[in-house]
Amino acid sequence: MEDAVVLLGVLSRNLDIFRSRFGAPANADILIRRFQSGAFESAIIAVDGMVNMQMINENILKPCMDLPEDAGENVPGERRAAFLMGHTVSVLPMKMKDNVDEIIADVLGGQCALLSEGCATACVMDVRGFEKRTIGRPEAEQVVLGPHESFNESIRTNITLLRRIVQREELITQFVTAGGKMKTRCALMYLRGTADESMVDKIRARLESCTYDFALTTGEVEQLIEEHPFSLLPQCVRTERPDRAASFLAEGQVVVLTDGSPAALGAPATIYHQLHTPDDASMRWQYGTFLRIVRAIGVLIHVFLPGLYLAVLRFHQELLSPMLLTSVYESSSRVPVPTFLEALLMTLAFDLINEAGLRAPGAMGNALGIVSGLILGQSAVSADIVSPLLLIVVAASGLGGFCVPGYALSVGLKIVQLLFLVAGAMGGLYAMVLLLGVLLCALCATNSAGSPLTAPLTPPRRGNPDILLRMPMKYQKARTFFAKRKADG
Amino acid sequence: MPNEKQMDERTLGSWRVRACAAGLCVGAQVFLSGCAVGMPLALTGAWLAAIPSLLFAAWLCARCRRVLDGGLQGRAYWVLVALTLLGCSAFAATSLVGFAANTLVVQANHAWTEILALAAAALCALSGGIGTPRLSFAMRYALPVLVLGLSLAAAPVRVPAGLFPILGAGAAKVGVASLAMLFGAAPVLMLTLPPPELAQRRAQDDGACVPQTQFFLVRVLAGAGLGAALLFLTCACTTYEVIAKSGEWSARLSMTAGGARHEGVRQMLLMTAKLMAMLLLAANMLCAAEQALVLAFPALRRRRAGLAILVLLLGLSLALRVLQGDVPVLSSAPAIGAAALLLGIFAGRGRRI
Repeated sequence: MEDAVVLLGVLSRNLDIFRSRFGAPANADILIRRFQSGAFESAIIAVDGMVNMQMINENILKPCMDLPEDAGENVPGERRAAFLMGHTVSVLPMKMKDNVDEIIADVLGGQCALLSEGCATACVMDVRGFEKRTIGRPEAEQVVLGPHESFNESIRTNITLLRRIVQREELITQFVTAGGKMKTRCALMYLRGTADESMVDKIRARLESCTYDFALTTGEVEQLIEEHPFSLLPQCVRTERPDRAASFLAEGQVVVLTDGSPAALGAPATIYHQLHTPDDASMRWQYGTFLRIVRAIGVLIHVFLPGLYLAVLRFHQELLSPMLLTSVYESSSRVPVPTFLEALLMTLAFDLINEAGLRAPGAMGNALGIVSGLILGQSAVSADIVSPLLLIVVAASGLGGFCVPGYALSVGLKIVQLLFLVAGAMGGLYAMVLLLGVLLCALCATNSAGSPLTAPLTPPRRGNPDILLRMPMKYQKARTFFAKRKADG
Repeated sequence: MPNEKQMDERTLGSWRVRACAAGLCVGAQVFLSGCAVGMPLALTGAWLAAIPSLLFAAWLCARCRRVLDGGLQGRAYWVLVALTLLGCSAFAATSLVGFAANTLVVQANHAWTEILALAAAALCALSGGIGTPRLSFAMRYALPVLVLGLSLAAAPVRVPAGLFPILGAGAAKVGVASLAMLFGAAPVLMLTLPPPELAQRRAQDDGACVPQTQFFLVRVLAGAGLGAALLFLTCACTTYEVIAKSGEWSARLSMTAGGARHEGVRQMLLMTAKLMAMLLLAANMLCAAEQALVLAFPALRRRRAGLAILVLLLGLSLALRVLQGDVPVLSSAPAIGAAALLLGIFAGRGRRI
């Protein structure tokens, strides 16, 4: 391991080190400003656009330059930076550092470094002032009731949003950098005494052990945390809503925020977390339960219906009435491709429309959905390219897919849907049951940050009656199984 | 003796999963053994012949608890357990294929259905013996309720038709059938193995981490009782003559309460539930057999070599079924019963075999 480069006691040599590392003056973004601060010289280093210039001018530069010429005359060289901090500069968050790599990382992150002649320590001040998006409405997690604000790309704003909801002294925020060359700042937030510390350590260790060059987004950070990279379903729950992230904290989960990503990750998570919506908790238990049942039916239709259609048509015709069977075969006989191919193409076409609608800007996306869904579907049936019943099946299945609350989960379930489609075509209900067994076994064996993804249902763990059915609030007093027991914490 | 209330939540959870999986497997195996060897011998008295296997399961269960306390160890013992459980897995896989070929996919290629069953059992077992028992635990109520409920709903007015004569083909034949059906209790042997997640934590070294015998006994007997009840329902709703004429095991497996194959969604649901139970039995037995084999030969842990060998053997037994019919698997049934009996006798005496 290389020795750490530390600051020297000569200002000009220190500045040469920073100029060389930053590639200044060729690198036009880097601001290096030398100025007289009383009896000695000082310099400030920052990245243009990342810092609040007004704050630097008014709280650092002006007070330092206004010092009398003999100020700090008798202060020893190694204490000059501390002298300025104590008597002149009026910026609250600051740290004294002598490691050049750490100072560079801080400067790149939007802080500024103040160096003084004769002093081998720099003062790093938080004067971040870059442009950021305002707090908006959630795009993917819209609710009828409940708050309507979402995270944005600034990690500081996101932490503030969470702190505003969880006003407890036990709320801990730890910063971790993930990534090798291009480091990303992540914030690990948890409630001390509620979250299991060993689980927090495990997540922190996974983030810190990242050896990839970069892990820029929440999605990449999620892949660092998860234990089963080949699993079809996500192992962490993602949200763009501060109120939901706050509920994760209250349950004893760790919330991971990533600088530059408008989403929070909750870990460990269960599969039920991923099927719940914030609306469930905002409403009375009867309504929440009803909506969950509707959603569960939607998910079942989404996953199984296309495969079931093929299975019935190819292997279990006795399940359909003769009239319906005749009608289906009659319409299928006019279609030029085999039923399996027809169903596969239609399912993929639906996904294509969905994906195109998502990527198309604003109102165009809605128009695209209507044009593709209605006009193309109607035309395809009229032209005998697809059978009408298949169109109904694919549309109903797609509608069920929209009930899935999380986007990541919905993509995973689409893959599962295609697997069941192939199984239904290959071996009817027999192959579908076998596939269901295999997938459920894999799901039951999956862990999220050390906790079973299917608990507390299986394996049995303590928990609240809030899995599919949501019981009244007075029955939901237990801490979830991955949190510390009340007696312990 | 340890009290379940004093046990760590995770440890107790793992044992509950293990015990419920064993109960479900015993129930399925009792029903399958009734259809395979009980019905041809005792005809409508097969359900009566299942009762000794219930008692045998309870006895084995008590013995298994002693093995968990370190009562019986040794390579030969684990090899014997592995082979016994592999036999159960082969029996379940054969039933699965036969049942499917006789009901859901009549027109499908037999080799294809066997390959699918083998692949499914192997993939389920890939979860390392954790996923399959957990799935069994999740289905501990749903599956029996679905199978029994649908069977009851499908029961025709002629329910008592098969009840008489109570002894079916006669007392002697019921006796022989009950001996042959003892292997219905063989899945209990999986309880001699600690749950894999506890084995990793070396918790099995601590005797206090194993629950009392009643803990296992209740779950195993509940499962076995359900299997016997399903067998009773099948026998009671099927006439003496129909059973006597059904020469094939797979045909007897498809005899549900209604006896009709194509009765729409209800029958289809019943068949899928039974298929799932058979798959869980095959996969659970395969996982447990792998665990036992690895205990006998620790080197097999690398790259899941133990599982590969067992899947190969399972594939071989399924291939034999294509060539020789059900005879090879069925003839191994009494041998499995004998092995289980042997283990039952030696367990608890602190021996190494």
